Amino acid sequence: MTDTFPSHTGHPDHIRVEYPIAPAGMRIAAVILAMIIPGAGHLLLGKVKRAIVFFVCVAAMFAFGLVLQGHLFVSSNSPDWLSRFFGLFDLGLGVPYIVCWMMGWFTQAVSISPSFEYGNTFLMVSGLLNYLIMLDAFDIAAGRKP
Amino acid sequence: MHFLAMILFSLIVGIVFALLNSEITGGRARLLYGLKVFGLFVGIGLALAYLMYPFPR
Repeated sequence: MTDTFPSHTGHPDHIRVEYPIAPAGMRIAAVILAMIIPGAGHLLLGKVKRAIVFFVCVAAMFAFGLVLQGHLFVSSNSPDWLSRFFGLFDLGLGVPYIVCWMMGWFTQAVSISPSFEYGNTFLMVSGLLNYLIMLDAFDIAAGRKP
Repeated sequence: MHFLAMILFSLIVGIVFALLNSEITGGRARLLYGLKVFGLFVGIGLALAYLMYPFPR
């Protein structure tokens, strides 16, 4: 089924919407939930299997990052711009990142560990993947994806 | 340990990318795409490692 929605729905006429559109509130809720718990946005939209896989993948990436002695970049202990940039990647984890930041967990670099840079990469990529998952939840809610 | 980290990284990213790609429909096509992403990550990683072998520092 392919429809072109009229402009009063909020979509410009040239954007083709092919799948059911969730109400505006649900679209926003899906993104916010995805930020709180990876995959929760998809769960709200009824994509249960995908939600579980996303949660497991992001959680596994985060856990491997910590096992490899990685640390989260936070602005309070990051004097240089590159560390703050990396902090934006970590921020994609959402609530787990904010909790760790406020509690001071996993925010100190363990530079003596041979694997700490691998760990940092795992943590940053888990945040970046969650950004993509949030956008995917929004696209599904907006009718752009199945 | 480095190789294991690369395998784990490639596996997780391959799974997520396969599920995020909206141009792919069907379980088999997703599986093949995920395997392709996984293989590319591992293959390019090994190729770069091989290229950097003469320059350890």
